[in-house]
Amino acid sequence: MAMTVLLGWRIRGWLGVFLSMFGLLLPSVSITIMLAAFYTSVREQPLVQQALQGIIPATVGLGFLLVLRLARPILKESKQEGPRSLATSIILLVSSGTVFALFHPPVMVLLWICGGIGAYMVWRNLR
Amino acid sequence: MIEPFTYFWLLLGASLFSTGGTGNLPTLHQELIERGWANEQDFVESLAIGQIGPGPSGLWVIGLGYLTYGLLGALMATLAICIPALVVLLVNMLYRRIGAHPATAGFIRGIGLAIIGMATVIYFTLLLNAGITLHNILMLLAAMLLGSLKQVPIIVILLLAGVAGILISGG
Repeated sequence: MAMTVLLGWRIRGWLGVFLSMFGLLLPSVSITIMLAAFYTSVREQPLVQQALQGIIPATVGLGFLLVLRLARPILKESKQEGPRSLATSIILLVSSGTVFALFHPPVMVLLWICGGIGAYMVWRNLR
Repeated sequence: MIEPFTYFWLLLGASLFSTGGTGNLPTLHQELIERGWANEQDFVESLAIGQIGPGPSGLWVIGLGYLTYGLLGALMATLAICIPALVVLLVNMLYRRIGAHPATAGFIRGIGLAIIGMATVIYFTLLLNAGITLHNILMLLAAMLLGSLKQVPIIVILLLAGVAGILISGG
């Protein structure tokens, strides 16, 4: 979506932004709302509840796959930078998840801390 | 009872600090569940709707808006994900000044890793909520396997999972 905004801006300024957002979102948002509305109307049907027995774990599986796909390029880049960078990335990944699971801190705080550590480590490596 | 202003503010705040896709999942999961405005089922169902629906992957939040607060919730969610996309213009200008500094890349990487770590925990929570049973684990692994073969559309995977769910439940 951000890419669409940038492209729209570069092509025709604010009009480009408006038109590109409109073109991207109108069909997809309308269909998503219709899907959600349809789902809400059939949510309590026994057949849908049975289907959910398969859809829920499959959705979680697709979520795990997404997480792996997001993590892979970051870890690969860190590995290319050297063992210290890779170790930092793995520690940030594991510790953010662990702290989030055990202590339930505000997400924004955790994001700023991890972002700060990431920035500090890169800055320190350059010195 | 959902307070509309707070609800919108949470959606907007989560999306502002999101790196796209499900980047807003950790914040929304924490805030909405804490307030009792959504449950685990709402999250997993809206993620499924987001997977099936067309367009950017971040649209899952519109499904969440609809399931938790009806059409108004869906419209609020749409607005909440549009505003950060406009902020990107500002970020783009700022990025021209500080983007070249390696620490900026380090900062973004740190945020990305934190989101991945938290999202993993949330997916585990959703799995725990569904139950760690043999059939759930098999279904999860099958979806991961099919999803990794990029030729199989997500909607087909979820349809197959739905049929399997009906067959397993004896429907």
